[in-house]
Amino acid sequence: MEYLQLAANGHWLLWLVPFTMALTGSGLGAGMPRRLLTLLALAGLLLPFCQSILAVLFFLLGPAAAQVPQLKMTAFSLDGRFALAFALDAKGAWAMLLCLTVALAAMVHALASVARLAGRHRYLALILTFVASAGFLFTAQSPMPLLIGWEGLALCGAFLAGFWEPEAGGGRTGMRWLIFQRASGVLLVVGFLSRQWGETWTAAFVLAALAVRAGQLPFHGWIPGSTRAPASTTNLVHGVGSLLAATYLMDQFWPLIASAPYLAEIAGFVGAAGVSFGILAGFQQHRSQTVLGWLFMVQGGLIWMAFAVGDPVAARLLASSGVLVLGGMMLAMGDFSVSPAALGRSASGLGKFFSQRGLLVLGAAMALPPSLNFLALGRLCGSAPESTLGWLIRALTGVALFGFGWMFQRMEADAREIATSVHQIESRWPRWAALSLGGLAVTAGLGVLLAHELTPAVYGGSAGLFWASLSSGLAVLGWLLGRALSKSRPHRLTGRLTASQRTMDRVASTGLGLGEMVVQFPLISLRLLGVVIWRGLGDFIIDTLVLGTAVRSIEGIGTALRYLQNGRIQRYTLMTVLATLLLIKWMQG
Amino acid sequence: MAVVTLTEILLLALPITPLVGAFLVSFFPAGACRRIRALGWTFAIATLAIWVALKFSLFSGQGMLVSVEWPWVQSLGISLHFALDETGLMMAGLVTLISAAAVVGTLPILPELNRSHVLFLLLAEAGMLGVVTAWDLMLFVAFWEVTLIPFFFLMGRGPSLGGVNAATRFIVISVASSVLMWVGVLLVVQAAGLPRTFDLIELSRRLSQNQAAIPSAMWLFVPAFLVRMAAFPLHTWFPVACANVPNAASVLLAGGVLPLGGFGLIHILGRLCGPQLGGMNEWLVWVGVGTALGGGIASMVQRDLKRLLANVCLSQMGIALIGLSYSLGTDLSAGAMMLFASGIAGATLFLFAGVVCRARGSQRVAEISGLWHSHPFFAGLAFTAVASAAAIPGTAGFVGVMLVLDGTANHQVITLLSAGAVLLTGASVVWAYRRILGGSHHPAVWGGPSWPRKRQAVILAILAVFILVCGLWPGLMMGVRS
Repeated sequence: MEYLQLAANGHWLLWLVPFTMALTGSGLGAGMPRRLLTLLALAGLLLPFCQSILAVLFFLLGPAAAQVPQLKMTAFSLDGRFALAFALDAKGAWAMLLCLTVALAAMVHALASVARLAGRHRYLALILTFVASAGFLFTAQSPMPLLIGWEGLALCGAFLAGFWEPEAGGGRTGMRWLIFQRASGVLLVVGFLSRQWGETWTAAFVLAALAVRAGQLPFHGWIPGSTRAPASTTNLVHGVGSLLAATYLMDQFWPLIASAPYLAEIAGFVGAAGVSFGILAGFQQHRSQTVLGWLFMVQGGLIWMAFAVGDPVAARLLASSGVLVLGGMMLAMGDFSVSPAALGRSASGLGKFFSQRGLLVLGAAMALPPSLNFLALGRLCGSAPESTLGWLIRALTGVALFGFGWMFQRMEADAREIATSVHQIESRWPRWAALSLGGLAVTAGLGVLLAHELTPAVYGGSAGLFWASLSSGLAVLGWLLGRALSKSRPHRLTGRLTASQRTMDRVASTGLGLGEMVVQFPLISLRLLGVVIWRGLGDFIIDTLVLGTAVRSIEGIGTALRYLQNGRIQRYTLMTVLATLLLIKWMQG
Repeated sequence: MAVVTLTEILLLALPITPLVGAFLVSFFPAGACRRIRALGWTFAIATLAIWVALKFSLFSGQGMLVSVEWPWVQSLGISLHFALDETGLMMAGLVTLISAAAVVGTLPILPELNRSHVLFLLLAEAGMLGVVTAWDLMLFVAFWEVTLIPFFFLMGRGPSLGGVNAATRFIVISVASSVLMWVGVLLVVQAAGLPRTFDLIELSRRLSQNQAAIPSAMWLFVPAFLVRMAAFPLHTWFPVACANVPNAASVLLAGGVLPLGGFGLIHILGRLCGPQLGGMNEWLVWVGVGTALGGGIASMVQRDLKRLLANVCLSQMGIALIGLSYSLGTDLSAGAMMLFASGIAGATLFLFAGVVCRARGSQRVAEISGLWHSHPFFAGLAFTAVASAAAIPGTAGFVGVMLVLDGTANHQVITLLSAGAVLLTGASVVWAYRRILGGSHHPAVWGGPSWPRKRQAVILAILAVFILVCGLWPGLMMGVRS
């Protein structure tokens, strides 16, 4: 127990080790041998990974009110307003372990994918910085490190997403994620500052910030674009940066949100809308990574509904399975997006192993017992009240799993086509990395069941078991139905879509138009306003009309004065007076 | 004879050192580029070292930290009163830092202009430090006006006629607003009664007994400060200037001139009026909101990197103005910290942009790409300034924005509008940075293989460290140990 406590007490190593390795790798990585760089990158994750396992064990096996000493830096922090305080609790340890597990898989995938590319050391350093930011967020005990972690995840995600983008991409990949997450960060800051307005305001701003980060309606416009990044990035951005980070913070702030009037219900209905929307949008996709992007949104919606019915444990289980299984699928389906010429060989696809057997393990980990997701769905349906929201939750759970089954079948077919059309990744490690994530979700589910000696409360009682089993059945039904239909109508890749399919694809990619509207309407309005301010108000009204007129008036006065000095005006005046006198004289005479 | 302490000597040395440097530089032949540059570096860095020494010796002090006064024109009540308080010390740090950055990190447009380049930079630094340290109203106004001269010559030497136009516009608007300020000075001194004095402390004491005379005269000061801050609607000179003037001038404009406009508000209005500004606060807040939002929105439609950065600086000045307006006469730390943060971030961004645009031969964002592959370290250093401008936590900009928003928290609309401006500005600057960072690198289209020079990277690194240190330990710069 002393060793476990020691691991928990050294929580600051969870972000310090990856950060130090990131700095070292970024600074010295260019001249490093490949093996040494690999060792460095893996060490930056493996050491905190082992530490976080020990920390989780400490909170599981240790005393109920176990606490770890806080690391607090208050010097020069303006009366503690900008203090850096860190500590670890059970929720933080859980989130950190999940993050490091997924990051390890992503790192293994990245090491195999980018091993021969110039600039790989910086890409790996960015992954390590991403993990360090997550460490900041999950161990934060004051607003400052929390905000640093929150923004750090967003920035690292954006830079990772666009890292290998060729110039033809125009720097678009990850840009929407970045701009949306900037909004999320500002909303969070305003939330912290709005304490004086009342707790409802704070809760509302925090909830809005979390909705943006989790990609829930109507802030889902970043989802399709960010799925075009490399697999190791999308896995981290959608899994850790979005789903896990938002769930962790929602968990921390839920007492505040739940105490505010209507916000818990709003969160529930937003989640329900997210599930419906994600399924509808995912159905129309013809690209596996984008389907997975929408499935992350669906999982996020289920998590929000779990919070709304007052079951944060179900939310944590859903987050865990989403991060592990959907993250694993992201890695498995990942097609490295660097151009083949830059890669020096063909872009990698999936091996036969995945297309035929490995992917099935991941699919089963999402839908079948005793996976974490199965337990979570049971808990969610079991704790749903006998109200409109409760029945909506039960219905949507079934719909979500049915949709998942169908979409999973299509992804599987897609993987088969890719596997036969392009070469495989040379190393076999990435496949195992992705597969192990699915395996972990099943093992963890089994572990939770056994640890609680199969107590019904773990899976939501008999009602929960019934609804979860029904959902699993619907998932299998969706998979079978999709398979049957695909035999009569072969799967088509994006390049061979008909006009109507392309239209539907576009509509779905933009979140049935709503996501695009949320992005484009303010953007176009602000740009128009910007042109009006810059060209109209600044250049024309202020510069040309006001300043120009003032300058011309002064010039006019100056010209008049010059003429006066030259004597022209006097002569003109004399001539005018004389002419007038002559005219009067002539008229009189 | 009164004994002059070391801190008082350092205080006097602050504006005098760059002045001596400029004087010595003027004796060198124009062709002695190396010697001129070495002399310029020496004096700029020496001034920075003097400020560091002052900072260490005056750390954690409250109120007036150091003051030196000699009579000058006794019949008119004008004295040579130099002093520093917490805000002045912070602004002096900003001026010495960005001046050193400009002298060491920038180059003249043509090599034969080296002498005048260094000369005017040192003169501009001396003028700005004079503004910061002057506690006599006449002395303040004199330094305020004198600063225009080196700036006029620095700005007018751009690669195109645009620089001359921008310099002319800046001078015309500044002089017009200064005329009003002169009238204001005379009215304030007259309202203070006899014996006549221009000393700020004495004026403040006397005017506190005659508040009725203050507000109308104070309005005459406002345009001069708002022009220098480039606040709406007196902002149009700034984007034009930044896009057309040489790099050294744009660094000093963004890092020195704009924050000094805000400092003028603190120094004159804050001290003379105290908390009773007769409705001026509300008016200034809305000017600040307009500037912040206008700059943020206008930055979204810019495709010229320097214009975009100029609008980002405008937006930050708007936020600073909001903070200043709420804190005038009370706690000035929020506005002052925002001024410092925006100054240092603005100067760093323009230094970076100047180097990159010169090497690329273009200022269009779309035509600059691939820095991530070619100059990752240099681009990484610039990221701290981008993060500060976008108010990312852990940077000086975040501290400034947080303090300002915290001060406005009683006014929901102002807080939300300010937060909106921060969001727009951040999105614009991060978009531009991400754009020039990514993409392919084409060595053929860049100016030369040796850019950026090592000293430019070192300067950027020092500025980046300042931004991070102020962001993580803000009390260090603000003199609060807590």
